Amino acid sequence: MPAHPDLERLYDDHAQALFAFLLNFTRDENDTRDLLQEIFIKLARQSGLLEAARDHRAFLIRLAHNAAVDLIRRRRSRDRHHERFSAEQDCMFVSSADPDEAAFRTELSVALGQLPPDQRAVVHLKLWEGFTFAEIAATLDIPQNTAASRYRYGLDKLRELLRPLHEALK
Amino acid sequence: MNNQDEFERKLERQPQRQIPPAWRAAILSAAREASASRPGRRPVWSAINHLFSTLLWPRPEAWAGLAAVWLLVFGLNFAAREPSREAALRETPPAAQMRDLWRQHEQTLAELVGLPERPGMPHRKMPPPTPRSQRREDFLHA
Repeated sequence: MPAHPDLERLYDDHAQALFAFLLNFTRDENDTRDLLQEIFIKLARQSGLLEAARDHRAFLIRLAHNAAVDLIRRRRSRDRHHERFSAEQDCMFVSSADPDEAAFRTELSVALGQLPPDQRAVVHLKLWEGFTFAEIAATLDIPQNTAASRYRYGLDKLRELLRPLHEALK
Repeated sequence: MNNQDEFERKLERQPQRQIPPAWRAAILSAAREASASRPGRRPVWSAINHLFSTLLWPRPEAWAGLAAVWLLVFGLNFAAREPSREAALRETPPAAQMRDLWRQHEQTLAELVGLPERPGMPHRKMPPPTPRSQRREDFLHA
């Protein structure tokens, strides 16, 4: 009998979303795995962690966000010249057999990497998690207006970076 | 959302990479092991060590520099502090020396006033002052 049946259910329900969020935030698959493991170790050690949470997905994404922010902060203060976050980036989309689609996904992944992490987190939750601005604000612990403005700035930058390719593919 | 434009919809449709299936067993296994091997209470030394590393972690050299400055300030303060009362008493001359000094001082004063005074000579006692009217009577009856 498994020691933590809830842990498996939580993994099956939320690990994919956490993976996508963390990969978009860190841009590195190894960091994503480390952070994901860190979250599940925390859940295993503190069995009552999710009891008070109304929305498990939002709570887990908040844990993931905090863990990723901590990781970036540690990296920056320990090694000021560490530029891996912007230099080497793992693509966060499925590769496509269609060369145009493949090019767009690659460019989109690169463009997302050029957004500040705060904007990237909001854009991700809005576009790929379908969160409302109120939910994003609650998850990331920011005012709702801030969430909306970060999304607008992030989307404008993506539009600007991808416009030539997007227009060409129309 | 009604006001979404075509660009946003296109972004939404992009399929995200799937989490590698092999991660599931590894992550859940690591979580279980960490949970099982978790000590009940953290040892005191480990807790202190953790506290110090948390406090000093951001810039250890800055904290070391600050500690060195504090030590320097403490050392300078210690070196420049006023002598203690006992030390001050120890440094005062003995009573015999003080008496000699006082006698020399009296001698110098007497020479300046014009009264030669031998050392050890008893002081002349002056009569107590009397009122002027009394002086006049003394003069008339003399």
